[in-house]
Amino acid sequence: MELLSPRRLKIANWVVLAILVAVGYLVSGREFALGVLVGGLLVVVNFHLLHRFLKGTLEKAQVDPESKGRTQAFFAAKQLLRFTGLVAVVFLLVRHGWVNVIGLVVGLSTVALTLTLLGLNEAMKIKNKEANPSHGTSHPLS
Amino acid sequence: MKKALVIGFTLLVSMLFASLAMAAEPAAGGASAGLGSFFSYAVLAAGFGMGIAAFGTGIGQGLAVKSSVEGIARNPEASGKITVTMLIGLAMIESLAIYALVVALIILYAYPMTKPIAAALGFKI
Repeated sequence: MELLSPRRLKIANWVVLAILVAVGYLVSGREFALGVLVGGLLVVVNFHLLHRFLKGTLEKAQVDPESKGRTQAFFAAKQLLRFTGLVAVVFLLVRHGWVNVIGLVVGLSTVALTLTLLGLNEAMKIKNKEANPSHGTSHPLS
Repeated sequence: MKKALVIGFTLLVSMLFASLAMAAEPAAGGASAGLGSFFSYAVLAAGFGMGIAAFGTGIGQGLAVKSSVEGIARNPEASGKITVTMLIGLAMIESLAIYALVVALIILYAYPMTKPIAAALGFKI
């Protein structure tokens, strides 16, 4: 399986979120961990929705090129709705102080952190492969 | 060139009105005026911060989607890989806008610096 497949990305997001919540709970307590959990859930669900909308739009555009304008408009509307929903939830959370704001910011970093870590991992793999070309092949090159 | 001039002029006008708004401080004592200008600047910072973040995010996401769609149109077989790369790019760019939004909301509603600023001005909160 490819490392940077959408399925892997989604699983990695959940794993990183679980680690962040656990570390937050151990280091700063329940309220902070709740903030991390809520922020993380928000961005991970957003990431899932972004993937679904993108996939749907591109597949539809390939299958039915005639409806290009309509598909684009639907995509833009869905993106706006998604972001508006996120803004509304974050606004309510910060306005009423339901969660720890620092925890919320840490939770909102889940996807960025996951993508950075996976990117670094992938870069390391490529670097190792270049340094040792026989690595991963059943027959050595020499 | 014309576009840059229009953007520059718009920014200049925004700055001009912002400075006029800041100049209209209450004639009350120095400490309360200082606290008032602190809140005014906080609101201004939140607004400008979110505006600049939205501007950058819009340009970034637009460029990413443009290039990805061009790539898919040229080579439809690479659609899967391009889509995943675009997804990663969009998520990274969007996270910046979300950070700016949260910071703006914190400045507007959580007032994290109110106590130290008020204490520096001689108020007790």
